[in-house]
Amino acid sequence: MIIIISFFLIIGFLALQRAVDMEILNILNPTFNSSNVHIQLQRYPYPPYKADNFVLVIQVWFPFLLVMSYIFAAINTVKNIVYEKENGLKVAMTIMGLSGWIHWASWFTRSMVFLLIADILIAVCYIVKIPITSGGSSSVIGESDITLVFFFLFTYSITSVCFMFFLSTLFDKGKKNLN
Amino acid sequence: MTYRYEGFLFVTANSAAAGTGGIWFLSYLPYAFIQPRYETMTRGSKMGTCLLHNIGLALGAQLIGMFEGKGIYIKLINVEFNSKFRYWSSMVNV
Repeated sequence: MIIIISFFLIIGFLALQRAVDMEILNILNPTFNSSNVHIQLQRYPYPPYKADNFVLVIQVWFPFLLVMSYIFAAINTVKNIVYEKENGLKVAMTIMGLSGWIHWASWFTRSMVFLLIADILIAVCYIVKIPITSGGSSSVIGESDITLVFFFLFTYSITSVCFMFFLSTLFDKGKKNLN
Repeated sequence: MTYRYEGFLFVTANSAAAGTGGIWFLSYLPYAFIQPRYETMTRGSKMGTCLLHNIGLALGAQLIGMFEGKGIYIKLINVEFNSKFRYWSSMVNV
């Protein structure tokens, strides 16, 4: 049971306010009897929440952490695709009869396999509770559903791969290979 | 009949890697302006910002953090919209 002590009650402000109010009422209305007035104090209700400072840290830094953890995969994939174009490997494969969509599908599969492993690892490492030295067990975001977080990261991976492909079309060393 | 599309940035693979890192971070940057206004934004504007996939991730992660603060399970219905719009953004990008 939490004992709620109002700040205004402690410093005596409420007592002063009540005395002033009752005195004004007594002056304005001579038949007023202040002993009939019962005042009760209650805090304004608020839905339950966890008073945990770590949750505050999570709320601020979790998005940044996730974006930064995917940046290496993005850099690596775009670099490899542009490297392939730069050295004319894509043109060589096209000459040999490889159609464009198969080429992109292979890159998509390759990127998604790597990102899928990362997604599983992220979901497991963040959510599975591990025993801690001070007793009990805890995890980073223990309240969330593991399949949901994995699905969330999985859909993000799909869009990430598509965004990587989009970026790889911006960077091109085409002029050099044409000459 | 095929045509050859050339990118407008004629750089090497290593420069492309650096540029990717920069663009990746830039696409996340508007979230810094969205986060303080999260309470006042309408659902439509939130969905609109999710068209940038990194912002979609950031908003979803913020949602996970908010539900974590309440101490209850995060429900599927709340994240569903983010996911849907990130599929959209993927199609736009392709």
